Amino acid sequence: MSEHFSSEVIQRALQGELPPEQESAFHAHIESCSVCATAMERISGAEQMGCEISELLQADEIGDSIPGREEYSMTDFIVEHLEPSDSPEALGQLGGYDVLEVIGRGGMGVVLKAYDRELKRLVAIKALAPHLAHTPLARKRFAREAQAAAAVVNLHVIAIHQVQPNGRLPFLVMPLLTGESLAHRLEASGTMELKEILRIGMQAADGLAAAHAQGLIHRDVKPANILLEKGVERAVLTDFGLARAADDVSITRQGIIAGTPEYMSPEQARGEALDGRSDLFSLGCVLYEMATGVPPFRTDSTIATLRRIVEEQPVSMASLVPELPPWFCSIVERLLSKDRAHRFESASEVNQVLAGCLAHLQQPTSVTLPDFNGATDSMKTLSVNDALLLFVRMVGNMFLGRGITEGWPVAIRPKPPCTKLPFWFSPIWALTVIPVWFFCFVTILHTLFDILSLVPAEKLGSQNEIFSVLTCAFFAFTLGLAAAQFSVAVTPSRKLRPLMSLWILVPPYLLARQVAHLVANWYGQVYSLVPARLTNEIGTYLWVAILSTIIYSFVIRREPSKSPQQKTSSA
Amino acid sequence: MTTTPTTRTSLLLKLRDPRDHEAWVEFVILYEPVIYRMLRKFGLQDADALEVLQELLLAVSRSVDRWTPGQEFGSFRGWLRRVTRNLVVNWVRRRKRQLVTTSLDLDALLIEGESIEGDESRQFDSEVHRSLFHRASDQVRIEVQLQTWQAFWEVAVSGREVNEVAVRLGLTAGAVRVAKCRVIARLRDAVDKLKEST
Repeated sequence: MSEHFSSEVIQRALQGELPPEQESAFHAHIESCSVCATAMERISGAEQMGCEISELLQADEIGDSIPGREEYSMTDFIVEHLEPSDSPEALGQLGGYDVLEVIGRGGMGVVLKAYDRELKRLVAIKALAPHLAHTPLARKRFAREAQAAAAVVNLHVIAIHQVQPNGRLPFLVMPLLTGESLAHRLEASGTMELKEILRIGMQAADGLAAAHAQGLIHRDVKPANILLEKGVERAVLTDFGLARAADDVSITRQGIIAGTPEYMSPEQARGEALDGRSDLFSLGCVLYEMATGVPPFRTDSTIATLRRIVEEQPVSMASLVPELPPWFCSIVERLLSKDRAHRFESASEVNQVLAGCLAHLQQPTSVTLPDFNGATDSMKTLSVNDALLLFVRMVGNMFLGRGITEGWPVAIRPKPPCTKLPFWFSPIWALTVIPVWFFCFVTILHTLFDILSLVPAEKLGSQNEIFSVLTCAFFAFTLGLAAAQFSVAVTPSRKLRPLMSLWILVPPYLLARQVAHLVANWYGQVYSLVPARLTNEIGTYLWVAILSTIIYSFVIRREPSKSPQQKTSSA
Repeated sequence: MTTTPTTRTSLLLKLRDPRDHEAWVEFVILYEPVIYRMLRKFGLQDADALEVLQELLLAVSRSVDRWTPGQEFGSFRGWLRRVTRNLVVNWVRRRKRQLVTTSLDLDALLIEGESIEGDESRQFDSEVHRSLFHRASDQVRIEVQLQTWQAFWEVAVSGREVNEVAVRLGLTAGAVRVAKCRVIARLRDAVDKLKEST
């Protein structure tokens, strides 16, 4: 081992004045010699200042940059973050890509146009803004969300070629699309044609549906993040997850909102946990702006905008643009519901509705408008055929133990959605398993009574009699339940619901009786005994049915269920 | 290192000259974050802090020429601190009059102002110190090589193990250690220089 370095040498090494060959020898020596390492720590001041430095430079909950002041010059950016490139037309290199120019800058990142040498193509690189890159939390989020976004494969979601989460500046690489953002288009043209609006809305909803299917919420759907490709009629969503990377720093730490809050959902404005339906609200804002030329909640200050989003209804679209068809306004209104349970259930549903509307617009004679009427007073628009179909679906759902309105058209889906009942409530269960059990039970009872001779046999009635009545009761019970669900689904007025339920109960009685007899036959073949006890059956049927209807009308109303595709993100 | 020098009279004298734009920029760069952070520590929300900050900068530009060194108001920092708190108190009062609820307690602010004067002034000084360090680190970051800065940051600020950082950056442990000390030495110089110039 060589002898220790003098403090002059260490001083020079610290100032970077050692010649290169000595430099590496110095490194090697420091690694093995604790005496010199300690001397270096002392001379540099690291020993005394170590803790202080970490404390002073680490970001705390207030943050050191004044929001809005972290304006940052491009030259600084290039000098600080790009490595020199040997290509003359490049500004510099970032992670092996030749950066050609700066396309844009936002609150959370810088977008660069770059050239991929290996694949010989132009790409767009989005780098996390330097002030965020220093925050470990933002970096982590950036990486995670970029990776999640990379997993979304959809025509209407920007593809991600590469994610580079490490290094001084995390970045992601995307294809370079030619075209303009929806924000640019709106700036230039004001409003758009209805067909265009529907097409863009439909495609954006499709992209969102694909993202939501991966559990990814966009959080920042706005015209600037929807790219319209040149030549092809294709809208592409960009900027997935980046909004989130900024959230942690800007919103929770400094209480300020990065970028514009104009397209935020009320739950976002309140800082609550989000699901995919938050994006639907933002999409509603975008549709509104495309149709009217102004975003629905614009004011001159951030705080006022947030308040409007949470508290106020936007100016009605019809009053701004009278020629808009009412169905379009009601779609947008539903998207802009403050309560997310009142919006569409999923992006794919929005996609379907908009696609249906577009088809109708293009071929008004052959394609009818999707049945969409704001979903509340839907009975008015139901034809007899529709009603029949619904009834069949409902019965089918019942027997499968599913939510009774599953598979119904959006427009008449009740809101809030009906309670999905546990499987053991379903008739299929009631009619098969429970009777078997009861059959055994009754048989055992009979045998017991017989053995003990407590009750005279003729007063007991036959097994089948009891059985027939019991089956009828079960059927009535489940039908009563179905009737309650059905009336909740189709009757807008609460007061009318019980009446509606009772009406529904009448026709299935015949069916109930038939089934009761059949079941009785299965278990005992004493069909002839049943008609004599008709009054018993009717009595049982009515009492059980009415009771269960009333009980379940109550239960269903008290338990508004959650929609199945709710994806609550971790807060 | 732990004691902060008082703001040099020269900067303040320069500030009093309305044509000296550079002095003003210098002042803003150093003190804006300090005051912003103080305001946030008083409990102001971000937007409100920005509003008061704006007011404060205006107030300083209007009244800096009335302040003369060595008078009964004491140091420039003390003066600045008092102006800051008075503005916050006024701001809360205004809010109360407009019937806007704030989370700030006016009485507490006023009472605290009297009783923990020393505490607050220490806090103010440490914020100035912090601001100086951040400015210095901004400078040094541009001067040194990317890897050197990364090595420093990971070890000294994020508190990672030297060996772990070395593996991640593809350097030897010795190089990481040297890089860390090199940056710290530079930071120290830069802070000293900044103190001199202000």
